Amino acid sequence: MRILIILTMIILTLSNAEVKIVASQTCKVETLSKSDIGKLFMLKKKSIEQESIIVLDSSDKEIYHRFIKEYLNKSIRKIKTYWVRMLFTGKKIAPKKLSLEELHTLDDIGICHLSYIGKEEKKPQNWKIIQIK
Amino acid sequence: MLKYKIFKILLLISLYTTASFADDWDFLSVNGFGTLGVAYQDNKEVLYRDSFFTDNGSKGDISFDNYSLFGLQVDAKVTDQLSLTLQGIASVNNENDKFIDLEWANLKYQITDTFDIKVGLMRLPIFMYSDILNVAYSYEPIRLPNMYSIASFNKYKGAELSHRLEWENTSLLSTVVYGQTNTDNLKGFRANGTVINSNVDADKLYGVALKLLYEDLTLRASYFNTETTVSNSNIERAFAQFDAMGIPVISNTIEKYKSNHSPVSYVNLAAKYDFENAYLLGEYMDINSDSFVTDLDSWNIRAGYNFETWAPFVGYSKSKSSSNYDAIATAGIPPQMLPAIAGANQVFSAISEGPTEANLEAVSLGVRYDLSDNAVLKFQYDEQKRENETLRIFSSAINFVF
Repeated sequence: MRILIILTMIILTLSNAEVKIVASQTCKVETLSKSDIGKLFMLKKKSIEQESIIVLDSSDKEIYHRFIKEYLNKSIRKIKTYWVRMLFTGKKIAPKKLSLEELHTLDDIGICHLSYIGKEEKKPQNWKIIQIK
Repeated sequence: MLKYKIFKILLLISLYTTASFADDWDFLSVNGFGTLGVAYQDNKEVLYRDSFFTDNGSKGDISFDNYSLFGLQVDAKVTDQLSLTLQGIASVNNENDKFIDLEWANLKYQITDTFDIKVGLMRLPIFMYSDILNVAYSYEPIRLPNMYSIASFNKYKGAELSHRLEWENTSLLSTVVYGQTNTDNLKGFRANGTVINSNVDADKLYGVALKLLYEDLTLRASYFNTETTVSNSNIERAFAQFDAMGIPVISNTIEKYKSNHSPVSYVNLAAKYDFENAYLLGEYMDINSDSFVTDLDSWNIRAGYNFETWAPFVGYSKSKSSSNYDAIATAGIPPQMLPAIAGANQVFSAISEGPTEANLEAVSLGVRYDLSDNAVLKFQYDEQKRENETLRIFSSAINFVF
């Protein structure tokens, strides 16, 4: 019985785990508000405190959807049509989507990259977790 | 011919970049969209079409012409601030009777994160969805309400300034445009079935579009103005014949009503509210002319509910035209001139009559179903009450993006 309760708690904890925002080694930024994260990933903002930032979305559909719900507070359909509209009206192109493997092998070359992962332990080496204000 | 070449180049680049060289082409992105759509209405006497630029559509038969189109876009990032966008469309509904036409061809300079300038060819943001009209994947219905079909032009050459002001939960987007445009072979159907082909030149086109986003509420207002010249050989011949009679009251009327650099204004107001899974949207437009060209007003209201992968929607729209012509008064006119004035009144009144599709009331019902991340399937039924008949239109389409 005890094992069952522990297992249930673990499953519940995992299923409710928040998507973690991660920043590459170059980034000076340590903390961000959800509003700033939304603006950065919608490309309404391209820098924080004069530091240029390149955001990268996840090609893992499940993590991408969780990120949209948790940080952008919009429906998946709304975000899809937002990027279609931005693209075909020449306004902006959606961030590149990378898999976790691609994120691990990304060449940072002095550019601050911001992305997100499903679990803290999957954080690429030398990247840091961004604290949410 | 040039348009075909550009389209071929876009297609080749698309194939090339999606092949094994993708990494070397990071500065370039190629994307596309399209609709494979079909419309059917059973009245063989009336044409159901999608715009004033075409005489193709359903006339008591199944038609693939109403909605089907294919578009390709190339975006090239020249520097961090400077980019180029080229978009070509293949469709029988294009302006100027061109099967392949350029919709966007402009250079954009990003001055700051919130301020940019575009120079070249752009879609005119005249109504809420005007700039994205061809990409039906981005909105719910197969066909947007009637106001989108009765505008006499959709794009312009010139310059566009865009600015965005951001607060915590609010954004204000402003777009200011200046330029010119022209449309050849605009086809206006009259109640008696005749077609009037006109060329429209719009010079000194200027205007502003404002969009306010506050949490789930979107408010939009726009105003555009042009100096418009409408050329139509039949109308010009009729004006010349009456002018030659040498009756001052007729000549003065011709001068007053002919569309030669006459001001035409476009006003649009819109509001949309997004509930958690539903939306409600209303839009109004008014086109006002200082010539024999008909004034138009139109409004619509739409609502829909988003389930996980499918979304039903309903809509109602109404459009009305009003003639700018006042009959020449006959009081105090010598009796020998009365027949000429009566004839002029009859002809001028007919010229000032609005096209049949500018006077209708429509109810729409439909559903969108997500086939995949990049494709949706839609069904729509429209009942259009026109002056002399009611059309029942069944439509289906697949919209895709890539």
